[in-house]
Amino acid sequence: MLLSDVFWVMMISIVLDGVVVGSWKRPAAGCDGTLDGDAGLVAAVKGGDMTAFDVLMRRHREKVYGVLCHILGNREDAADLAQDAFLIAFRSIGKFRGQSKFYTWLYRIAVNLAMRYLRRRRLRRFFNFDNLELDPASEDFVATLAREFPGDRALLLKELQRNIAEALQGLSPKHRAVVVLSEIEGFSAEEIASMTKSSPGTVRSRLHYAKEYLKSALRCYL
Amino acid sequence: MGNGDEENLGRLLRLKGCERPGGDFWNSFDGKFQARRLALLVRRPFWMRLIGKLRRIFRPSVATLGIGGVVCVLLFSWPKNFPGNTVTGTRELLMVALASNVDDGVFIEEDFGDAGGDFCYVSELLPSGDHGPLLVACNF
Repeated sequence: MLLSDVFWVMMISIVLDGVVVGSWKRPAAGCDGTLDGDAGLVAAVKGGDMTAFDVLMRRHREKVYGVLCHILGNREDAADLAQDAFLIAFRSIGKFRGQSKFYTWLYRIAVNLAMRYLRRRRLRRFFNFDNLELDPASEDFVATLAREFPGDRALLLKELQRNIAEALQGLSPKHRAVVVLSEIEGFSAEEIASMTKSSPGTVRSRLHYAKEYLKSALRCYL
Repeated sequence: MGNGDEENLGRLLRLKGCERPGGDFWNSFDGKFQARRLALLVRRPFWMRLIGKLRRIFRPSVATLGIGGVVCVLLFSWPKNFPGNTVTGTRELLMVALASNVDDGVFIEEDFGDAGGDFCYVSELLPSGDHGPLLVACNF
């Protein structure tokens, strides 16, 4: 009798645990399957929930840091400005009306910071870059290049990174920002226009010019 | 050819997108950000920091001395409430009287009153013999 009672208590506990814990883990309706969408987190931050901002930051920090790294060419500067961008976003989130997506607004802050930083610094700092973690499509491309440029693959990758970084630094900050946001981050002309406070036509014009320049600078790899 | 160049350029640039910071980068990034955010949250507004700085410069003892000094100077050097200029001492009084633009002379009256010191009054002596407006008064 006692064993059967214990058995039923255990079964009920397991069922209840699944219901309760499962409800906690169930993502909110209408979201992208991870946690709440950005809009929900922004609302939570406005309501005073700082941990919601931590989630937002972890969600977007790699992209923001990456954009800044490619525009500035220096990872230390990029890390500092990325933190500045998140601090500004944190301080100003009360003014965010939701008329654009949160990440558009965040990237606008980051790009503006980068432009201001580059305007202030006349002397170009040495640039450095992080290691490459290639996705399958990039692996195929590098394998193709390795056939054209036989030798040590690691050296080839380092040389590629340096030459691409040099070529990007040959562009003006405005052209560099456009090509980074478009070709590396994959944003549309309309989104880039919103981030850089310009028009889609201006974005397309700058992108065309930037690509022509880069094709010339990197023609040995094309 | 042109399209091939465009595509390869895109692939080259997307290699940059594969760059990732290694090691403890993000832990360090998060730690620094939390520290900076905390500093931002506990930082007082600009006007409060300005008042704090001014209070450190103008400490209470210095302010008290300063205010006390000003009060003392005002108390001992503030002229009595008489119209016109004031001078101290008979000598100055006579000099003022002589320098005045009165052709028919001046009338000097001394009042050795006991209410706050001795006073002299210099007033214009009119042709009729009356006293004109007070030119100067002094106490000494």
